[in-house]
Amino acid sequence: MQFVVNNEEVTTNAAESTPLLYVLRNELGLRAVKYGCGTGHCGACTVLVDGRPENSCEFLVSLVEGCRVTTLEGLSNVELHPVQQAFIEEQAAQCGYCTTGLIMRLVSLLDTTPRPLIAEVHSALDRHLCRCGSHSRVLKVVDRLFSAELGGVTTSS
Amino acid sequence: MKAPDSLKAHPLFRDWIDLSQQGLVVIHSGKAEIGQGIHFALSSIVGGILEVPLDWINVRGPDTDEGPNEGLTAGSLSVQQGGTALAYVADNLKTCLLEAASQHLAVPVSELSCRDGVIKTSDGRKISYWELSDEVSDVKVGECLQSWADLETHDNRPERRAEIDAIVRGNTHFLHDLVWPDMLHARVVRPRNILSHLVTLDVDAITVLPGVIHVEVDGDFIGVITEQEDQAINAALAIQKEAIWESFRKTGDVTVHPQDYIGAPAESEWVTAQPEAEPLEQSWTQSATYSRPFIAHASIGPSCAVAVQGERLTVWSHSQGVYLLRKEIARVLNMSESDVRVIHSPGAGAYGHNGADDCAMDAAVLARACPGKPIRVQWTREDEFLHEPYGSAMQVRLKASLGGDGRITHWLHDVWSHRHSRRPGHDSGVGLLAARQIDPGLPAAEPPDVPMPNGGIARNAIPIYGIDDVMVRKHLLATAPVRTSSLRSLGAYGNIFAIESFMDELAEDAGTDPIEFRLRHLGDARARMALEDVMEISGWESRRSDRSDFKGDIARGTGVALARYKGSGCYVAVVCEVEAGQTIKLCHVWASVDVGRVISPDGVRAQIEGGIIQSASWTLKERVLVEDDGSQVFGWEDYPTLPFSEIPQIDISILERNDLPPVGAGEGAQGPTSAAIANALYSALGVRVRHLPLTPDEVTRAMQ
Repeated sequence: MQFVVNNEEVTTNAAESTPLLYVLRNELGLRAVKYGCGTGHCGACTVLVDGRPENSCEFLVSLVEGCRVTTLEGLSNVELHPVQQAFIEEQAAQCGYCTTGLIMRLVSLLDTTPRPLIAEVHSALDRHLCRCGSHSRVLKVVDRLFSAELGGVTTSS
Repeated sequence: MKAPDSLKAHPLFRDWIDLSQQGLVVIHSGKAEIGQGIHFALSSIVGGILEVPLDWINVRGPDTDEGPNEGLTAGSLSVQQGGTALAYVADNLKTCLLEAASQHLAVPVSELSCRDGVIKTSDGRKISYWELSDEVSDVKVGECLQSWADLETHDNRPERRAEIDAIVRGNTHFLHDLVWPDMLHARVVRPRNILSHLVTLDVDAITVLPGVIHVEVDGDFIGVITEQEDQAINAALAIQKEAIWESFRKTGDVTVHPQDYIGAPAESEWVTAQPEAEPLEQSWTQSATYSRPFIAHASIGPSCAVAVQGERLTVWSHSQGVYLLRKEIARVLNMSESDVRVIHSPGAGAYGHNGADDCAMDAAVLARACPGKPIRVQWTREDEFLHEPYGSAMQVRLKASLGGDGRITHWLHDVWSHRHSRRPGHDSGVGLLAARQIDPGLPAAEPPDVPMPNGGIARNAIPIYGIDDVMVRKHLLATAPVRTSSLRSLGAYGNIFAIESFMDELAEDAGTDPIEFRLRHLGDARARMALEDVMEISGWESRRSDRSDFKGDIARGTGVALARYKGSGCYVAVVCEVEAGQTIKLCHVWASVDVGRVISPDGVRAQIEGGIIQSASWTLKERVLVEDDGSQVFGWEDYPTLPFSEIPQIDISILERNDLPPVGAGEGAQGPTSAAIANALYSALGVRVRHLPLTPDEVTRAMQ
């Protein structure tokens, strides 16, 4: 199978039923993507497939044939992506295990919905679990990203 | 200031701070980074005292071969113990460096200045810390330390944790992400109830599967080692299908629901002095019973460990206690402790004793079966939910007498619970799963409850209030349906929930505002200050007066609670505002916090925010449903937690008391948050919910 990961063509011989997560982590060495539950409930394994956020723990590698996959490692070269920068500015992590997935989710939200309704922010973030309680800081990241010039987060839902 | 005990066992500067690499200050700490930012706090202390930038500082965590043994990373003690030890070391090291520099430069210490690791004379001659390293590293740490009030521990630059930077950039941070050459992957397969015995497994059917290198069956322990991770997953699934376990048989009467604990067989003990006679029933004017369920740590990343058997056995684990883990591994595998090395490497957030140690034991067993290769064991989400040691369910019965003057005269607290600590390495037996499963099974440890003043079951059971006659008794239940161990704040969460709910009930009986009623019984000046501060920042009085504001079917209410963690740690006063109708919404939380000296203001804030949110999740959502055959929780679908869309606004006020020694902030919010929510719910609905979690179903039950 061939697909593009972080702008590079890759080929894998993994069995078709292998979840994308294990190809990314073990074959391609992209270990920012995390195993959290394996059932698509926690969001720790979120990557972008053709720009859409997907749970890579459930997404079979056979389905990415010909697609463009983006992981955290592909967000930036020298300059950090604004979402990464915002996480650092707000110190929006405690243990940080859920952070990669949240960053990928917000990258996608920023790309597709620059002026989200608060309900859209909630529906995006509710696909992610955090156990340390870094939520209120992640919400500050959202406030920072969807800043006034973009129209901000709209509170009417 | 008294030197911590850890300095006696590790008396040399090089045990703690290593200046052998130019431009680097390497701290060896016995305290583990578990997501709480402790390594940043320790860097702040050392960087402030030695006057070096924080990005020159590198903190190494616990390792049984290197650095100090500081016991467990637990109990909100890492700043208090680990931080004090390093303040001691750094302050004395600086004195020692200045004296050495004074000799080299032939100038009295008083004429030297120091910045960024360089000691200078007024005429511009200089020598660096690193040039003096050899002269000081073997020197014994001196005996004196200024008071905390005089120590510089941080400057005003924004606080940036190195781990957050690494994680956000995708750099390796977690044990889960480390890769060794020749590393093999493994999974362990367990029966749903750990006491079930293995009847049979067709090992040959597993051995022929792709990539399988070894199938280890020892007693009731089954593990499989493969070349690739997905092969291990597939082999484990095949084992789950193939293995035949004895169906679980109840071994005796076990009470599984915390609302039935009173009267169950238990070992009872007075926590306060034993009264001369059993307290008479008629002397009590008020009584109420509260409960909390079993709660899971449910770290977002299931446990992981890597072990390799070479000349010695080396284990990498995200355990909170590498020395205790080493002790149990050595005992179980019949090795000498000196032949086992356990190195801490960060995992996902740890809130107590989760599956980390069990997983490390699994890796050790498998590494012994397949020497020479690093064996990586990854637990699944289901492994963690079914087999982690849970925070214990509790039942608390409170009785009080209220005098005519509206003051409490007598108080009786009875608490029933399972153990709140079952860390590995206890002399009475073994605690880890693999240790109990492999042949010959060693007896399970029965460690005693954590003694007072910290307490396990009775942590925070002695009220902070000035009441003439206080009686506290604990009841350790004889049998438990699941394994329990420490979860953030231990028994304090259940005890404070009960005490602070009961205080609200008594305030109402006395016809008094809940804060006014607490202040009436409160002699502790710092507690009073926290309570008065939270009253002010939350606008308590005006909020209470418009509590009857109904918005359609939704009622709004405000509640308060207060505690000093362990009776000796941080003070946290919390006010919560909820809206209740068909659903219960926690809208706003205010907290006033006194941790004494504030080492890392943003760190304290993060710990309190996180504590409030986690406690709100426990309080509103969480329960490990337990039946006779154990946990009924397999995945997140069985264990709802507070989602992003229900996160309240949080305002925190830190009462800086920089003249006082620092204490930890990690567990202080757990108890008060729970009771403040329950009290707010009462203020909104007029319904007293005494059993956690405070779900709409539980509210309905309380109404009936």
